[in-house]
Amino acid sequence: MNGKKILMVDDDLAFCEMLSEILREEGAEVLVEHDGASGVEKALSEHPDLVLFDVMMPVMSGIKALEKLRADGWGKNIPAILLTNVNQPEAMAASLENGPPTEYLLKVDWTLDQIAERIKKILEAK
Amino acid sequence: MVLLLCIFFAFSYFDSKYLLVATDAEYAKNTGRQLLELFLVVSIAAAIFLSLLIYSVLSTQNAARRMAYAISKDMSFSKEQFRRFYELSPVPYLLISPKGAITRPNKASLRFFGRTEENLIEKNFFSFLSLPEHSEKIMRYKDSAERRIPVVQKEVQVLLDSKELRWALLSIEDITTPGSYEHNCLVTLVDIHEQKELERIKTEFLSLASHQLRSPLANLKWYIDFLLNRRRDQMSEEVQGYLHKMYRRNSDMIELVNTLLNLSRIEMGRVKVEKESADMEALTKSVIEELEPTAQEKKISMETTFVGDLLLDTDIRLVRIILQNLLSNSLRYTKENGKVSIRLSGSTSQIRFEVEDTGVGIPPNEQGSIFSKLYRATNAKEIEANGNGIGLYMCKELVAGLGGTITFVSKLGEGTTFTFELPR
Repeated sequence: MNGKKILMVDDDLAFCEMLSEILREEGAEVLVEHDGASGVEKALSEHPDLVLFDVMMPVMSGIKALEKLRADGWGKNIPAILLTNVNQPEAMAASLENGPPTEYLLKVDWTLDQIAERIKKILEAK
Repeated sequence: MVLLLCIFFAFSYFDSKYLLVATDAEYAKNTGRQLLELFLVVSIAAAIFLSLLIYSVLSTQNAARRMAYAISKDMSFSKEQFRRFYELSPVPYLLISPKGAITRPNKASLRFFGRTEENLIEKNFFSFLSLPEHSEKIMRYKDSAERRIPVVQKEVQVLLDSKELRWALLSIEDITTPGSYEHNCLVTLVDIHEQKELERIKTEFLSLASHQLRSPLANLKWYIDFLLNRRRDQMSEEVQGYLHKMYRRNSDMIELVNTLLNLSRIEMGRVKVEKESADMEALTKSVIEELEPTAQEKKISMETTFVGDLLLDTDIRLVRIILQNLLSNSLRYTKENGKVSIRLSGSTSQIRFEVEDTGVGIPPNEQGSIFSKLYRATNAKEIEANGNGIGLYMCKELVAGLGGTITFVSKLGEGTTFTFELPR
């Protein structure tokens, strides 16, 4: 992941700290925000290689944030991962129909290393 | 009959009285008298016969009249009874013309709509129906009514006087009697609003609960995982051991939450079956591998037999849950040094999975309840206090969802074999 820029947007500070440590060890540059609105702002100004959004966040939800990103010329095709513990993957999938490279992960099923691995795979495939 | 009998007796009487007389003169004189007497007797007999005939005709007429009266009384009674039943039934009924004009709403329907009779009569019933996203459906029901095709228990939203929308099950049935010129359809509305509301609240609660319950569990999992993988050198063996235990207990908790959420989804009919071709042997082996540590702990031997073509187009997530449940049950209720056998056999039409154990068995009088939700056999409760009584219920629902069947044979104290078959 050398030289890759990853934006993490999650209101769970500990999760952000732990995952960024792992991603930095892998050589990635990690940007962190804690609410949807700041996440969109940061994404549009920094143009990261991949964005990681939590779904339930203060100010703006991850889904809304992703919609805003997808409406932007640059953000239209940016790989994105949505992380949540809400038990509605089908509903989630329906709301993401327009965004091409978007993944949905159920947090509780993944370890931090597995998430990092997933990010690596997506970036390699890009 | 009476007439014939009289004539017969009259002839016998005259024969005995006059035929023995010898002379011609006497014979001639007697014949006149004889005829006169015969005429008299025949007239009396005819009179009796006629009066009997008139009596019987009259009494038959009376009986018919009485019967007709009784029938008409009965009919008006049942008509009245039916009217009262229609009017006073707690279920909203409306009579409409095939075009939809309301002709006769019952009291319950007035209460349902919150309108007066004048306010409802002659209005078009279909104008009160609303299904924003399915207006086509309403048109279909309307069309069915017009063509006198029954509409059976369809979910609709009904617009009330208060502008509120209320969920109901709509049925429409043509009740026009043969030969009648007046065409009537009976509309039945069953109020299911509370049910629908509860469903909505339950769904919302579920998504909230799934988030709130899983988030701290996911955090714990990450913390422990992070410590064990990245801060290992800062911890003693003892601390690491405890962390491993915490990780396992937390995983149990995650599994329980997932089970509960899966169960709720099954009950709401929201589990989607996503089929793909998969090797059932490989799947079974991976489930066995997961449970191997538990088996080793209890020194239970696990034996497998795989026969025939075991490739199946199915939802492996669901088959995995079924196998996990059956196998972990077998391990839980089999004593140390016992045996669990797993047999898979594929035929052209299906694959049969058998899980046999040498466990405690299911008491015969409880075997009928074993697939019921939250039910736990009495001997199971004695062995393991923490079971949730969901596993087998979920297995049954999932097997049914995959179009298969599940059965078992069990002998108390000797063991149980669960068998499920999935069609190709």
